[in-house]
Amino acid sequence: MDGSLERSGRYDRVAITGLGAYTCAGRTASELWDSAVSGRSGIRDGVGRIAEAVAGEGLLKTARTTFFAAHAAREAMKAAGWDRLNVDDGLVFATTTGRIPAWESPLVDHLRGELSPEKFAEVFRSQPLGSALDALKEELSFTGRTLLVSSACSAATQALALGAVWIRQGRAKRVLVVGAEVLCNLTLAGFNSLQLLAPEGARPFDLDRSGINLSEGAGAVCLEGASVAGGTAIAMLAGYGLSTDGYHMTSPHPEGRGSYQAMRRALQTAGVTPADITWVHAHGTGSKANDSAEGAAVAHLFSEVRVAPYISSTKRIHGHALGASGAIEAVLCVQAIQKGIVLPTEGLTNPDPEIRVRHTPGVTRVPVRHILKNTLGFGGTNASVVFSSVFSSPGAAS
Amino acid sequence: MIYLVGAGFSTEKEVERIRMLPEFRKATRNMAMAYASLEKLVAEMPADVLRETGLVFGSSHGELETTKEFLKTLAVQKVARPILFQNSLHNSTVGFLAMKLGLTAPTVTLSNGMHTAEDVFEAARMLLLDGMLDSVFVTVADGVVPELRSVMELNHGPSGMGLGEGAATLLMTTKPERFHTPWIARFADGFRIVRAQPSSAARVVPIADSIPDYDTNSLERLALAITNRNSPPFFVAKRDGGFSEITWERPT
Repeated sequence: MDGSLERSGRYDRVAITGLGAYTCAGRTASELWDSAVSGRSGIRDGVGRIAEAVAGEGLLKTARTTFFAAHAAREAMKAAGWDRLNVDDGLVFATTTGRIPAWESPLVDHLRGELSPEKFAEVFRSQPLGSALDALKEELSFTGRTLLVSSACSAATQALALGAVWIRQGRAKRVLVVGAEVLCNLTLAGFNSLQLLAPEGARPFDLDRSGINLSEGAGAVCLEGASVAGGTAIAMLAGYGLSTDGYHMTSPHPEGRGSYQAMRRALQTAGVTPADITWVHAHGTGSKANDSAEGAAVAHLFSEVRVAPYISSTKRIHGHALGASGAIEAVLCVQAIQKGIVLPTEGLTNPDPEIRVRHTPGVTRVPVRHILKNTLGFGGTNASVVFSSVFSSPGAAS
Repeated sequence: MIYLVGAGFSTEKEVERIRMLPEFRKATRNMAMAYASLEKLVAEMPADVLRETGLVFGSSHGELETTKEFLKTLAVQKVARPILFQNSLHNSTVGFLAMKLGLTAPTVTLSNGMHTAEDVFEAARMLLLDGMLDSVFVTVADGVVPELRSVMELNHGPSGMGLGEGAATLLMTTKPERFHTPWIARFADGFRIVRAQPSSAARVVPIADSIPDYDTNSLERLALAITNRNSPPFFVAKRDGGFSEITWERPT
């Protein structure tokens, strides 16, 4: 891990040229941003369900993931000026639920003997997550290189990192990164069994936080080599870092050791220091364990910085879309850079005194140069990325 | 340059032995199979190298058996069991192995149907060449759920072989000098994955062997091919009419 290839200068820098979103808090990237700035949450009864919030009627259960993903992807591609994906482009998709709504109830019917093997086999073709990627490829008429990441809640942030690596290594000039999730019995009942669900809007970093708001939706980000993106770049994906806790299946290391390592590596690959960071866009789910661990990691990373960066979570606005969260929140981070606005943590009224970070006081207008975006996932899987303004990114022409 | 310094596979006998161990009491079949495929590699690794070794894991069906059990228990008994949920995620094998082996380096979980094995290979290459990792376990695992066997077989298609299960691991590195054992093969220009379009005529070299037929078994076949000194470059046919090709050099 000596970074010799990095220092050789053979890598292209990674530009962001388009954004798309389809969430419970807005069906486009700009609608999501408007909701976040105005504090308008898409959470109802503790859940961010799209059918109730924005999508309206007509969404087939089997097509929900594809619908969300394709919608966000097309918006991002249009914004980037991409007419279509070419065969030498890349597509990195992130999901943990895939097309599960199509088969989870029929599975039980089949096990009860109420659905024949032949009938069940038809919907069971949706079980491998790869079937969701196949459906998205068909929607986008894409036959090129793909990856499907399913690293729990860190999936989309890892997908951004892998997309960036493809570009930096010259294996693709353009990569579309999409994260999409659907609400389902498995995750709703599963998180409930772990007593992690908040009955109302989540309150990340609050002393009285009571859990997370599960949600569904998609985010999409267009990545291009900076040498080909030219003036179309709206921000840079400057760095990335991955790590693993090796500590517990569902809880992060209490001191946030893994998250700290992921953040540190992201800063290293971005070529920036902790003092350069304007805003830490936290994973900030609102669970006791996540927020304490992440807070400890952030406090550690910035302990020697004279003025600590702002930190906040936007989960109360759009909910926690698990493997898609990194893509949805990337859409907010890039717009924050464009607009020079740092978003606050909605729902935070009584900060947990044990979490010693600099909370964002409200919608804050400030030049945003570099954002550190975190995710922490089950299995102790951590991922962080650094988004930079086009003019602040190391290596940018002055 | 990327080197292969070890390869391993699960066997039914090893999996059954591992599942009897107390620390595997709550483990899934994928976890046990994956561990069986890399246990011997771990035993031969220097401790400091193991701590810094990453894991790229792939599974087409993921933790299907545990997911089935969770949904069945939820529907029939109206009970959601936390242990079943935490073990139902595709990346729960990664979380388990990280805890078991003390891994803190980057880990990634991938799933892409019959192309999963090639994808983990590709992702591992990306991470090694990026410098994010010096060494990485490249592991796949896919199991058969007895209650769903008939349905899984219906969807598996006429492959000529019965549906099977298994796990395989390749240990790859950019720093072979850090390992006690000599490298087995290295990948240079021949390190490539070719996929024909689904519509094109398949240029396939069929492999007749005794490897169980599961979605991710390309990695097991690749491992066997590389460790067999008489094997030609690796080709594998895909059920969608495509194929993959991976070539390597052996030490002289």
